[in-house]
Amino acid sequence: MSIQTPAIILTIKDIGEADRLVTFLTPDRGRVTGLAKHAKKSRKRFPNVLEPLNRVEFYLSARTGGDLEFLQKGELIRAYSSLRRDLPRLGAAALLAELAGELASPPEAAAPIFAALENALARLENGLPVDSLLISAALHLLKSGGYGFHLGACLACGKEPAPPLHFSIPRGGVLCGACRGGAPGPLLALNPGAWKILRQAQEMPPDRLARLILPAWQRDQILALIRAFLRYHLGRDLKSWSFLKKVSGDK
Amino acid sequence: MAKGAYPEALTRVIRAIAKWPGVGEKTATRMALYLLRAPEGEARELVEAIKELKEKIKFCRRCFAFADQELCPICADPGRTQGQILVVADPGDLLPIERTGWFSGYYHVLGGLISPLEGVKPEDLRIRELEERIKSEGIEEVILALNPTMEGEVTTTYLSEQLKPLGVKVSRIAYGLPMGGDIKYIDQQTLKEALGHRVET
Repeated sequence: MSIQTPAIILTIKDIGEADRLVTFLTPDRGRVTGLAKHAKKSRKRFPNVLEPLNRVEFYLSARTGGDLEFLQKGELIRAYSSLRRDLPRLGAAALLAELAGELASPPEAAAPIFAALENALARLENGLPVDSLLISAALHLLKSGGYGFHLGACLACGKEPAPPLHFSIPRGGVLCGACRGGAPGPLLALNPGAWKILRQAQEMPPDRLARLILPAWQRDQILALIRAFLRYHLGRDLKSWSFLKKVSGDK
Repeated sequence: MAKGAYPEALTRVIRAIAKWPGVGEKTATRMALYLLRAPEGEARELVEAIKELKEKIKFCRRCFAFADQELCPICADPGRTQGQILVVADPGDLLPIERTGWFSGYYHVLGGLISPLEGVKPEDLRIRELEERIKSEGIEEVILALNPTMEGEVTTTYLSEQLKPLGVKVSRIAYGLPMGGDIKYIDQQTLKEALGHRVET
């Protein structure tokens, strides 16, 4: 007997001669790790399935080994293979997948996180502008995971934020220049244009994302803010940032 | 292993062999018992060979394949075709390519593949050394022979973008069906790539 689940593969490690340890995202159980026995030698059970970012269907054994699942077989649903030939898109996809994996463990909000990641990977492959898609998808993932940014009103006074704007990294929201005094740090200066883009990116439906055009310096400021927020709350940098930075210029 | 079934010296050998890739406890026991029964000289030769392996084998300073001198046998061979470098991820990938007899140029071993999700960056590989070789050795063509996995493809794309501005021809090994394969039994992704990268006959 086996349990079927949709999955997006995050990482794969070889174990011994033929086994592979697969970490993947599921809509019901969040981030899961499973052992695919003899996967490197089997052409029938995992044909072209075990690759990072692949959208697959996994068949898990009903027997579990504690936190470890046993993968009986897998079927490829979508490979997003064109991303491999476009490094900025691949970098964005890797970052979003890693972020989704972090937010979906524990698995309470896994279903919307899974859907948001699947949607973002498809849109990245379909050629939507990579910068606006990356920012918007990251904000949607954070919101689904309970870390949505508070951008509509000042965290301290509750009014429309008045420049010079600041972003509170611990509280994930915007502050007026006049209200920043007593707020716990670290705080980051936020350009009013970047603030508007952030609001639009968080609220805009995914099918309208192509309209969101932003200059490189605003993109860099926003990505630096998201990176600082994640580093503060996760206690470390996501591994994919350095690759994204390398292939997309300074971010 | 049942406790006390064998003397400690034999158990130690079984445990050591059982750590090797693809070897379980049963096979390790069979091998250890063979060593025990083997002539003294055979066992000593194995010990000496392993000792020498650990002492003498290092990376070739030019291509980073295994070598027991400063240069590996391929880099030390002046009769090979100049101007061509074939890039592989690991030293283990070099031997099957060399066995085909098709390639007569020189190799370069990257020491891994770029993996964004595992945090393996381009600067973790021997890409800078490859660029230096292209400039200093008058290289005209670089052939990328990396696995058709996500990491292999990303590394191929990255290298292609980095190396072409140096004025070299950059090619990659082809996608496709295995020789003797049957279209009916090929997975969709392989077939899709083979069709997408078809060649004119």
